[in-house]
Amino acid sequence: MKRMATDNGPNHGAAAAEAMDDPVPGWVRAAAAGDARAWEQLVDRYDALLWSICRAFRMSDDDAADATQLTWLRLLENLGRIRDPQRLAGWLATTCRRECLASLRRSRSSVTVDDEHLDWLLGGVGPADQPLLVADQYAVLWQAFQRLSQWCQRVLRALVINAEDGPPSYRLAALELQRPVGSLGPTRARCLDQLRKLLDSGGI
Amino acid sequence: MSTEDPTARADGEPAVTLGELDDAGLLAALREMLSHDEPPPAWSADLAKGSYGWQALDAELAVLTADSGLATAQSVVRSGTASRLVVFDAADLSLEIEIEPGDRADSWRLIGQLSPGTPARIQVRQQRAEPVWVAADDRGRFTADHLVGAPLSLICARDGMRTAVTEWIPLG
Repeated sequence: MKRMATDNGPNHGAAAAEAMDDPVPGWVRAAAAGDARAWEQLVDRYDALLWSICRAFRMSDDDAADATQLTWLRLLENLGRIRDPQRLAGWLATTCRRECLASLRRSRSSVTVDDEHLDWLLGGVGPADQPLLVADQYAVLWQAFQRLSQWCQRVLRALVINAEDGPPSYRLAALELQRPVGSLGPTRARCLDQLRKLLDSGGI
Repeated sequence: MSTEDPTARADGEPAVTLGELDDAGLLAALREMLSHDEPPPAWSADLAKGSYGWQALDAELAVLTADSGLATAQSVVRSGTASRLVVFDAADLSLEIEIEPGDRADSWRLIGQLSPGTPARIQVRQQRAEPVWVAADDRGRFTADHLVGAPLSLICARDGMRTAVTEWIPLG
């Protein structure tokens, strides 16, 4: 059985308080015991995360859907065995990534991705300028980002989407956000600080 | 990155610790994540929610221990055979199934063998399809036709024994 290794780091005060507010472990327990509503909560919370991971592999919609559904079925068959429900997002992300890799291997002859990118996806070295996030780090980042204020999400999204291969374009981001260019630096710093706090309390 | 890095994963991915990233690194990580951020189609969550009905409470899980379908499409074509051999193992039961294309396009059939070879009732479950019961004969052999291209799992019910359920495998 594919067991997911998780780090059980020290439970600092902030993380413990965070854990008390986290509904996910309760949902996992309830869903394992036959509570359909708890299962639906889990799906509502994490389906977008799985889809995002599949899309990062440049899979077609059909293949992404297959990998996503299989990931949910894997969770269903393992609900009673999840070792660390507080890190369920990481478990889901790792499982989804493995389903995507398996799917790519099965259909290698029909993948439209170029060879260099495919080698990277199958475990080779990535493009030098792009960090590779392990699946559970991706999940932690994704969760922390969702918990930022709507405004910070918009600001950071505008800054990174307009960056292409270089540094963020403050001018383009300012146009998109309809804010003065000069205000973006301090806003960016504030939002990244907030993101770091959320990442720290997420226990990475 | 050291190969003994405890945060490196078994499938060989290098590890990046988010807490170690500077602002530029964090923004780059965000870009990697946000460039694939289209919301899933509405039916995705609906289908996943509907899958809850497949939960087999109190059944013993028969795990996948072999699947020749994990080979690449190219190697399957080269070997000249289109059938796929899959094995699931539980504590006191093994299910071997051979999956091959069916009579119609986009359909499959399976031929199964239980070990030990005893009679049983086998439920063939597939997402987006109705479950079907077939009988395993007194030597533990069974077949099922008209499988669709959707994830597959089997339940094996034997008199006086705990019900076994296989892991889900992709099909099609």
